[in-house]
Amino acid sequence: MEKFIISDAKTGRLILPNPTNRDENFADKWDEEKYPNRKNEFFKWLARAKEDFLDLSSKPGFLQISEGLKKSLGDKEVVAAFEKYAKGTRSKREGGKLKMNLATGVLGTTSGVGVKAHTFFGDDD
Amino acid sequence: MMINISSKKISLIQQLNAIKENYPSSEICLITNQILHWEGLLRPTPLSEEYRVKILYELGYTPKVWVLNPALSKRKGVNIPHMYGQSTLCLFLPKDGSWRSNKLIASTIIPWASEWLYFYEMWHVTGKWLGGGVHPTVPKRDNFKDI
Repeated sequence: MEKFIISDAKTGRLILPNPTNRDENFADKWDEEKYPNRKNEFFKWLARAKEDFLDLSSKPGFLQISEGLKKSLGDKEVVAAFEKYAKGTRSKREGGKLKMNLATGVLGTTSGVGVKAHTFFGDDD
Repeated sequence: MMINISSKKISLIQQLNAIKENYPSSEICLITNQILHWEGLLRPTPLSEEYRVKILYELGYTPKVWVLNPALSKRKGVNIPHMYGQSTLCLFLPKDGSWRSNKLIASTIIPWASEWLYFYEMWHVTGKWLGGGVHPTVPKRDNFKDI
């Protein structure tokens, strides 16, 4: 992440360009005179996020992974991302594109047995 | 390669052979007392837990599916959706034709179980069952007579 932060040669101020719009500077509110804490808080968050992300690799299961992500990125954003992912998987099944790897059970679209159309049923009692 | 079988009922031996052929890493795959017993490991995504799943199938009845471990859990005290009595998985609408005794467990029940596990994990993350399905008010049992 740090490699994307550059220093303005003339003013010395930090610039964090938006990767999809180079004219936008995410760090333009880091005016150290007006807001002395913002830069420091960002780097504190970044350090903690790195630790959280590294920790994720040792946790099997989406619940554990999502809890780790929620710490750094916030509940709303993480839930929205997982919802989008799950809806995409459902859409693939409904479109007849979802397959299951026979050796592992992993779902995907490249190889394995097709996941046939069906309707989950039952109760939640 | 998954075999195709006609509209006739598939025997337990044919079910067993199709599973053995397609899931060589099955932990248990046998017939005892006219009941097919399968156990195997399913991991719906590379980031998911690996679940040990058990299926029992008696000809003339719908297959019953359990997750043996890791134990399934409620979410913040809320029961798990799409189960029978919080014990077996509800993978298909009875009598809608998606499962019949002329279908292979290998190409229906097992992939559906993996998909169920995927949406179970997503339910835990989001609080929503995102795999679709229905929760009708019907007699609560998991051994419907097969068609």
